[in-house]
Amino acid sequence: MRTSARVLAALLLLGAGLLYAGVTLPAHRVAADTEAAVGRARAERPGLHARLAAQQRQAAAEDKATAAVAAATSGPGDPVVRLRRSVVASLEGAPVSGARLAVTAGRPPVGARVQVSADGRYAEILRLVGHLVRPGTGLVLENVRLRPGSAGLSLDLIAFSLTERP
Amino acid sequence: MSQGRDFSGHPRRAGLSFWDAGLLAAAVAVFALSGYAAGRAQSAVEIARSRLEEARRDSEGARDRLRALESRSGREEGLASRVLLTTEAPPPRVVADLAALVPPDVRLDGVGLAYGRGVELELQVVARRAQAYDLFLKRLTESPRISAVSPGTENRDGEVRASVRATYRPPGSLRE
Repeated sequence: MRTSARVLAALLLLGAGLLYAGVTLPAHRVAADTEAAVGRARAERPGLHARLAAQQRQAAAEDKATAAVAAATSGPGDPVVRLRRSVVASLEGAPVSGARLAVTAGRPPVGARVQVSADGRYAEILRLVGHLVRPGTGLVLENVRLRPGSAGLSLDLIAFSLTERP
Repeated sequence: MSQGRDFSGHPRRAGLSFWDAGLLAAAVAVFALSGYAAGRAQSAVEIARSRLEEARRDSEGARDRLRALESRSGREEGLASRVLLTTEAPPPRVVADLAALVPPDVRLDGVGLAYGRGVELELQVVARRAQAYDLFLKRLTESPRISAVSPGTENRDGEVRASVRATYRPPGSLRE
């Protein structure tokens, strides 16, 4: 009885040792490694969420601006005619010379594309560009070139209107 | 196991001694403790794995949403970005910001603005002295409104004539 009790006790202690070495210690190591991986994953989270938030704000701002532009330029009638009318209205009364204008049809969501050239004094040309793209005209810039001209500054501008939201 | 005889003459089973009973009880306790510790360690692993899974799911979800937003702007070929930049960075504002960076001995002979996912600038620069041109480049690179400054060909024989490419970032721009 005494011998078997001691053998049993020894077996129990051996089992406890094996359990510790074979299960508890490796599990502690795995838990520590996993926690480190959790830490790494969480460390990259703020940067990722900041990038995502910036992209979402940008997309929301673009959506808002695009909706406003599409609302300003969409409507009944030929988009080429509407765009031409809008640009002509901006050119009228502007103290610039050599104004040239070419409007062509665009492929949706682009309604029409316009090329504008003009010469004038530095301040007048910049005022004209600002007037062409002022809120409400629905004009979207593609390319603008400013270089010395006969009257001071020469402008070449390519822009387009939208018929629908892209 | 020791055996004795009682008055009936039958063999008598001897009980565990105090020490053996204590040893057995301690061994049982150690085994139980070890089992408990193993269980705790396993459950700690499970908890850590589920936290890792959650963190990875969260990151993956954010990455998916980011990819979706980036591919959206790719599909639109930058149309929405042009719309926003026309509002946020009209040529008079860009020119005014550039003019603030031009030193006295430097003039801009031409300015090209291409609206896309950013406003790409192409500047034709004339400087009376090479040092003035270098100062202009320094101001461009240090400006928070300008990035990706790329000086092109330059003629430094007396008056400097050079072209510079850069990207304009409007105030309050959200995208890097």
